[in-house]
Amino acid sequence: MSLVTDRNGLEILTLGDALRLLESVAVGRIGFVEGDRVTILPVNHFVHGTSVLFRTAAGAKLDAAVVRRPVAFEADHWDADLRSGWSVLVRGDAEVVGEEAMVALLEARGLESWARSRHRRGWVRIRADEVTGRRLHPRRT
Amino acid sequence: MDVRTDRQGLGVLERTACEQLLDRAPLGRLAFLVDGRPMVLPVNHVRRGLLLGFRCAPGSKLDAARETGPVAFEVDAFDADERTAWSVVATGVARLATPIERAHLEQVPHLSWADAVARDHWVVVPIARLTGRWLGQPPADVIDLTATPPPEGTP
Repeated sequence: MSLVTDRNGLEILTLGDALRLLESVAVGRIGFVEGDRVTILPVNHFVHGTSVLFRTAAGAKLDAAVVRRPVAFEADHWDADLRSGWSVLVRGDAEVVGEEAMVALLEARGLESWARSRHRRGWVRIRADEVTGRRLHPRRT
Repeated sequence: MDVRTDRQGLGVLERTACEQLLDRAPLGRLAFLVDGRPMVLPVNHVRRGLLLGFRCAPGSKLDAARETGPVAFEVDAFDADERTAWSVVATGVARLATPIERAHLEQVPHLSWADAVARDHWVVVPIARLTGRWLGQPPADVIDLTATPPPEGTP
């Protein structure tokens, strides 16, 4: 089967593969605008449908900066020896999710441990407008 | 000596540790704006002093980053089982490398993993701000952890 590749020779992942890989790692990075700067922070996340959910610390500047604003979320996994790996990018607007709605969602998914943790509060959801992924295959030698 | 923490309780990495971790990572993620919306791409990088360099193809998304101004570059590592993590973020404004900068950067051994396309441009980011945080355990083997005592139980 031939793979669909982009101009850099990277395999273009299908939506299904991209979401599956996104879900396979616990940490991703959110890129957002803060004042006149762009910044990026790692966050623990999980995937629900085509949304990405993550928690923010109480009072974190992140909440104010991202709500109802466009953000980018990236997750990846690399093998430095093989110089190969994948990355997935989700772009969309962020929104705050209420605590009750989140607890219900987490319990429905068997993720109570997330809901029980007390020292991080506040949930943000990114509703994906766009999910894209690329895979760099090990080079044939 | 006390561990330096920020107001969220994360360990603070000193500048030298941030530089070391930047240099050790084979790639990181660059956040920048495209039509006013954030974009994040993984990319191989090189650091020389206060200059970060990225090789890219003319006309690529990365090449466009220099048109739009502010960027943030991040490297990290995490262990979900051990609940440890660190990240280092460098921010600045992207632009095209000068010939002298380009010559400097090309002296640093580096690899572009995705090399199916010629990468004739160097986009550079003079580092305006460099910060690092850790959670659980500080990253192993960084020289300058003067703000951090060794973990309990180590000889």
